[in-house]
Amino acid sequence: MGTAQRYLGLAMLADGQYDDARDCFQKSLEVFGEYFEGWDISITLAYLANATLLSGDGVEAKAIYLDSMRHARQINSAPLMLMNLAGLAQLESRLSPDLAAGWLTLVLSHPAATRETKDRARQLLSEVEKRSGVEQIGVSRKKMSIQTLEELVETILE
Amino acid sequence: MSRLSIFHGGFDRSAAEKVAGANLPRLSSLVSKSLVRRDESGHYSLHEVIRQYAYSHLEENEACCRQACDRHSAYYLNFAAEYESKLKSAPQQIAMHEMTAELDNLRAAWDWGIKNKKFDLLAGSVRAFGWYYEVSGMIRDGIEQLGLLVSALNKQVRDKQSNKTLGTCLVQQGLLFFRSGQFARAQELYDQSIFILRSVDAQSLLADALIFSGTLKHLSGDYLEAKALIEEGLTYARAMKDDWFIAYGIYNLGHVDSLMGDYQKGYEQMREGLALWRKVGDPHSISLGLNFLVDTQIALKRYEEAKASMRESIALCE
Repeated sequence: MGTAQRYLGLAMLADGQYDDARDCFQKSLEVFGEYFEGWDISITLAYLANATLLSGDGVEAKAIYLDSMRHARQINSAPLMLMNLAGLAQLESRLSPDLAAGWLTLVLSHPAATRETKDRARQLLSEVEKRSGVEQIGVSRKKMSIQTLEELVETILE
Repeated sequence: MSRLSIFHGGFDRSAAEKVAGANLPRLSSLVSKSLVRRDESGHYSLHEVIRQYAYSHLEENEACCRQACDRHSAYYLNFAAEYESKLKSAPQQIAMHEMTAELDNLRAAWDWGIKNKKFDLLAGSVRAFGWYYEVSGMIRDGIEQLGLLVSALNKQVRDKQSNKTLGTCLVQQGLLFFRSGQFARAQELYDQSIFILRSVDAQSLLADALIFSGTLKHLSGDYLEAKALIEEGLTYARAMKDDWFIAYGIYNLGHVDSLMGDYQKGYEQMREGLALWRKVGDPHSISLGLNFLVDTQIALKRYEEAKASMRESIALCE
């Protein structure tokens, strides 16, 4: 039931019904909270963060992404850490475009990123580059290319 | 009468006859004397005080008590083994409720089998027990119960058959750790299981271990290794003509292809796996299959189909 509620939320989200999607994700978390830990909680939180971001509440979305990231780190799930990193990069892209570009570069170069996460990162990076100029963010991207995902996640969650 | 005290939480007519040698006239006589109760569904039980009193008599004859426990354990372990295919097909919910109604007896049989090293009998029921705990959502109980058998087998000098039992038990326990989100522990158990089952060339049992392990690997981002494991498991499942595991293998290969970006190919394979699950009739797997298809349906902009899938899935869960 928890999984079904999560994916119903995802279908709602894709169809632009953000509030309904959030309700579904919340219901899913209520079910999972009783029985499960780890992956199911992390991915549902990541989707809830996406829905919250699309509803316009960036502060709440950030808190949820970080919570999801903590769960993903606990179970060492690289795809979920990358999914959350892409979400956090979207939040940072206006205020700290160079930082966001570095994170997105790491997402794009990581073999565990799903196609969906990579597509999101590619699109975001293109927008960041357009706004800030490719040269300006080049240094940050280069710096990020020598940091591992695990190191970056540790830093973000500190 | 004393032999009936061996049952935990009651018994049916067939069990009374096969385990305690109490036929219908004998049971009717005990019911008429109010020593045994019979409910509307035909389920018999003893009042707990009477049961304890009767059991103390049974214990006075050690050989008789031991024989009764052996019979009880054999009966319920065979009973469980017969439920494996039912738990993976259309009568799943009925099967689950029937097993739940006998859970006290099943647990007692499992415990006695372990304590008395009845590993051959336990071997036949491991997958049914594992699947029961998975389908009923009793994840922690399942991990604990399967863990008892794993510990017992690890203390034994093992032959080929007991290695097969241990390998099977580790897979089932791994699946429950996986369901509870404890991926590292699940992977550890799958790896041990694959090593043991390979060492005894148990290809028919390896299908479970390889396909479940591949499913876990893809969630950790090891897509190519995941595909390799699932493909190998699928070969064994096909050799056994095990439609349930063939469905699981095809479906998860599709899921990995989809995660790697080949949405159309992934969609087709996941639908093929789902169609096989529908043929087998397993509502639990149909529901899971519908759930994890949604990402791919969205990527292919099949929004209405995705919502319809989820409504069907939720209806199956209710």
